[in-house]
Amino acid sequence: MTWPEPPGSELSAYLQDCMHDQERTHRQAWIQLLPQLSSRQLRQLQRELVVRLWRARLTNLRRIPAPIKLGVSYSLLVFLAIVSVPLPPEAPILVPLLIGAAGCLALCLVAGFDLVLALALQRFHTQVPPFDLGFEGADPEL
Amino acid sequence: MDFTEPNVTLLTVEADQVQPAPPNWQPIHARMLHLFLQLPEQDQRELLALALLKVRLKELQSDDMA
Repeated sequence: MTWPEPPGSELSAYLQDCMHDQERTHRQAWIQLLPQLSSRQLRQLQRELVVRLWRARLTNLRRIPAPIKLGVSYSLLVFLAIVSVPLPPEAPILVPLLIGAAGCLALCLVAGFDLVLALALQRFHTQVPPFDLGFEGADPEL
Repeated sequence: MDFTEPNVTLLTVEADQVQPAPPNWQPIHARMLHLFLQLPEQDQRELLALALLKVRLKELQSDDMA
């Protein structure tokens, strides 16, 4: 069996075309399927859709590299500390202390943020069954 | 122009290719299409399978009624 081989230089464009075709196929199938559903089924599907959308957004947030999250929160905290804490000129030792405290706080913030995201994602995974067919009177344990 | 807006009766597949919406296209369908297009590919596939199963289920239920 031989597979059609795209020209090497056009491989990237070929793959992009394939992905584009797939996206278009999904869209077309969705457009054809939606009007065939009852209003109750539509509501169930919409709920599933919204939950999956939020799950995808949270997953994207979790994928931000930790150094970036740490850098952003650290910069923000140092800025807030400089703006809000009046430093007396006779106590220069407070400056490195303040910067160190902001670093520790930034670490805690990022860790807490990741923990909250992980818990939220776990909740999504456990609450939403992958395929809710909406059988009337079905045993929820099944 | 955003073709996923509820009051639009046409759907676009490509920027230069416009096709009419299915006859019973409703605002909720447009909203769901808008949400669907924001999902990752894997979720799109699973939801398509789920929608297809729901359509089959509806057909089976209507057969039983008849």
